[in-house]
Amino acid sequence: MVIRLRLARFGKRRAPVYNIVVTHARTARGSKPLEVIGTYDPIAKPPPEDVGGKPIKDIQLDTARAKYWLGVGAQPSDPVWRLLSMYGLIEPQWTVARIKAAAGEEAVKSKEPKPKKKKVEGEGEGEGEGEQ
Amino acid sequence: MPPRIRLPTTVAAPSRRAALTSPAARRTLSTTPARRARESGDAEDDNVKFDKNKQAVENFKSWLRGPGENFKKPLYYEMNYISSYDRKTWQRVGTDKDRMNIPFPLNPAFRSHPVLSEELKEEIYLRIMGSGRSVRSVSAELGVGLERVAAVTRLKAVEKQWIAEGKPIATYLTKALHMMLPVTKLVAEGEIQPFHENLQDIPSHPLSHRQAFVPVSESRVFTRADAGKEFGLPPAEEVVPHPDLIELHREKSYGLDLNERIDKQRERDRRAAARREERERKAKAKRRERGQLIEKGRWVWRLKEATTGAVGHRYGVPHEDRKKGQIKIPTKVL
Repeated sequence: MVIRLRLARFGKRRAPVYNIVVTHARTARGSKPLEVIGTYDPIAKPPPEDVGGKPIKDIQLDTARAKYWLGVGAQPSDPVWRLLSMYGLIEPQWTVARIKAAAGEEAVKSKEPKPKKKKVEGEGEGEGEGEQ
Repeated sequence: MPPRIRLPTTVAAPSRRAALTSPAARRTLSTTPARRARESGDAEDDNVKFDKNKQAVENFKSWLRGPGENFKKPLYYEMNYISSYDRKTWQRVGTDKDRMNIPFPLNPAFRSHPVLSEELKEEIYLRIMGSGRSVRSVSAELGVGLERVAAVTRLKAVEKQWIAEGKPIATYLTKALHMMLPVTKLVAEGEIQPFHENLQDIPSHPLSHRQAFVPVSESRVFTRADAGKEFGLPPAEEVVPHPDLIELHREKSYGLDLNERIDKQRERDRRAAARREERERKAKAKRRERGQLIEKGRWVWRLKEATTGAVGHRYGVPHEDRKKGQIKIPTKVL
């Protein structure tokens, strides 16, 4: 079964808060996940009065665990993809956002995909061929 | 520009006496015909006046060619005030800085503050950015105030960046200042650098602006620390910019030998560095706690780092807000 990184809704009516969870894709939204790696509060808090500016939305994320799960093939849902790309863990999903991020217009510059390293000889030739 | 003062010359300026003895005034007084004839010729008087002016101009020009050259081509890194020269011989008045440093001769109490020479500024920059020394230690060594050391370092960095970028830098103001004000030069290596300014100045704290009458028994030793406590302030020797200099001097007066003093100072430096590191570590932790702010679209996103296991809303814990005894209204007014 596919492992997904997705949001699980908590909170009350009209006051959602989300856990960023690692779960099997076919389990229910409210079921117990493999791991909770963060939270997301979609309701913006007003900016500090003395500073001003735009309202603030909070995200918490265990970036090390997120990187691990992405590395082993977990698939983020669209909203989680958006959050992860803000941390610079993956490229933005949509072309427009990707172009903006590359041009430095967006606040977060996502990492460029690294060029594939050449396999050292004698280190699993079969795998190397499989990637190509 | 310093005010011009009247010089003891023979150049005739239109004086009050001349005004009193104007031709009109004299005419009524004169009795002899010869005199009357001479005085009635106004044209002759004008000629005399004209000649006086001409003479004045000539004198002025000859002064410009002579002693005035000193001011037209001022010495670099020297004071070029009128009081820097003897006003009779137009030679420099010795090497006494204090005697030269009177920019306003009518206000002999005024002294202009010295400026740093280019070499000294460069040395400050090199010691801070090159050798990675602390601002405080460089300030104590070169006798330049803390704020000035910090400012010199910042401005030198900007200057170097501009030079690297190929931007023109305007040095004429600095050069002009170096030809006018006293300059603190960098001494040769091995010599002791004279202090540019008083390092231990502290601003008077408003809390200490009241009079305090404290009854103290004669047997009690009442120190600066006690006085400070009375005003709610730390003692002066702690709040000065360089408490280490006081400590060093105290150790010297106790008769500790040089090596011992150096060791003690090293230990103090080490402790200061440890304190600084601790402060930086705390600041970093606080920044991490505050999170990274990113402005994107309609919102500012606050990205924080979390730890799996400690983060998130718990599963299997129902809301208890429908239970009896839950208080839902504010219990405290701020």
